[in-house]
Order: sequence, then structure tokens, then C-alpha cells
Amino acid sequence: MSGNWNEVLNKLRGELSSLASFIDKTRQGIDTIETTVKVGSEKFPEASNQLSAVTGELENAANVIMTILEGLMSEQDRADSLLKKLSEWAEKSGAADRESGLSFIGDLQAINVKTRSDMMDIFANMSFQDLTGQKLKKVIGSLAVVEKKLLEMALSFGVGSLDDVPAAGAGAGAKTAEMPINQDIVDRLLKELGA
Amino acid sequence: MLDQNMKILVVDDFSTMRRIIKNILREIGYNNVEEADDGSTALEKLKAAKFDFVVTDWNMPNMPGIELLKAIRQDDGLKDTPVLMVTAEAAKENVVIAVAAGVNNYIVKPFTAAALKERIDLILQKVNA
Repeated sequence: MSGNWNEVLNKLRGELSSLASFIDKTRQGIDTIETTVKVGSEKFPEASNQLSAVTGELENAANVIMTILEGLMSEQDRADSLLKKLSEWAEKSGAADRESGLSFIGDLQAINVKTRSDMMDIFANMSFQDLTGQKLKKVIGSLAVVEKKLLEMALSFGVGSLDDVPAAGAGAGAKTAEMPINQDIVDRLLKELGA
Repeated sequence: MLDQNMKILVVDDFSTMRRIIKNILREIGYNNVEEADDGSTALEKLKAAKFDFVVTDWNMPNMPGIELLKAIRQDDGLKDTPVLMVTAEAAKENVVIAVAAGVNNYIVKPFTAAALKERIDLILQKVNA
């Protein structure tokens, strides 16, 4: 009889030991996820901020270049007008080398036309700022979605509740209505996470 | 064909893009240009004053270009205003949607001054025919 009990107890001890080992492994896994979530919570807002800064810098640079181009085009209008006057003057002049003078003016006018056309091409290609800006906006939006998921996971580890957090604009530079997480919320959660 | 006094409304949420289009329009002879930064602002401007032509982006906050186009076509006072869509949305379905909504022409960014002029000329040719 006692032999049977010992057998049962040994079996039970073995089962409990495996269960303890399993719980320990799971706990270690959860710790790893928790660390990943914590790191992610720190990195995603930073990545969003950096991308927002890139968007802003691209816009500033594009505006500076366009201001220079507008100035150059205005000067070029002036140069074009002066070349026309010079051409009219050369036509009237009776100088012996009148023909070569007119030829030089013609060359200058051709250069002016070519430069103007190139400047317009530069202007048109400044739309890269719009095109890259739109793509960056989408990336920032995607980061905000992942960031939100990470924060939800962080909350599920017992940090607090999203309901306690005041709803506001999107987090870290993203400005979409469906991501109601702003920098204040992120900061608060990071603090709660001990970061 | 070219009416230098033609009043054009350029609608785009990116200020740089509005500036680009404005400069290209000036270069091809159109100097009477106003700007709006989204569809709803554009609609207010269109209802407040007479515009002869609209150049609009597709992707904009508040009211996207496609909604602006639909609103223009549904308004008795505005429905005949020519609309050129200037957008990065190059997908076939977008073009189909825009055409179904009544767009006059569609140009994909980035574009050249010559391409913009060609589209505007084409629209005016058809409208004035």
C-alpha cells in the first residue's frame, strides 16, 4: 500500500517539477517580451520624431532652393530684356563688326533660353519633396500603429490602462485621428515602464 | 487659346507643390493664380469667387481632391469648371475613379512644364469646342 503511495507521490513530484520548469521558462519568455516591448516603446517614438524632422528639413531645403530659383528667374527676365535691347541697338548700329556682334547676342540669348528651361526642370523636380513627404507620412503612420500596439502590450503587462490616459492626437509626430496617442501619453507610459 | 487672365485655383496640402505649380503656370503664361491647402478651403474659395480652372492634388487632409471634384460636379454653379488632377496616385483604379467623377484630365507627379501646358491646352480645347 505504502509502495503505491510512494509511487504516486514520486509521480506527482515529477509532474510538479516539470510544471515549475515550464512556468519558469514561460516567465523568462514573458520577461524577454516585456524587455522587447519596453525597448520598442522607446525606439518607435524616436523613429517617428526623426522621420518628422526629415520631412521638415526636406521642406525647408526645397523652399530655400525655390527662393533662389525664383530670384535667378527674375534676374534672367532682366537679362532677356537687356539682350533684346542690345540686339535692337546692334541692328541699328552701323559698326563694321555689326554681324558678329549680333551673332554673339544670339548666342547669349540661346544660352538664356536653355538656362531658363533647365531652371524650370529643376523647379518641376522639386516635387520630390511632396512625393517623399507623402511616403514618409505613410511610414510615420505605420510606426504609430506599431507603437500603439506595443503600448497596448505594455499595458497588458500591468503598467496601467489606456482608459486612464487622456485621448489626444497621434504619438510622436504622426497626426492621424485613428492613433490617439501623443507624446505625453508615451512619456507617461515610459515613466511607468521605468524607462 | 491662351487667356492670360484665366483665374486658376491650385489646391495642394504641400506648400512647396503649390509654389512649383504656380511658378510653372506663370512660366507658361498664366499669372492669375490663387491657392488653397485642401479641398474644403478650395470649395469655399470656389463658391466665393469665380474661377476658370482648378488644378488639384488627390491626397489632402479634410477633403481629398476626389471629393472636391465630386462636390464641384454636384454644384450647379461650379459643375462646368474644368478640373485637372495633379497627383502621385498613378494607379489605374485612381484614374478610373477620377474619370468617373468627372475629371477633365489627370497628370502624375513629377511632371514637366511642357506636360502641364499640354494638359491645360487639351482641356481648354475640349471645353471651348
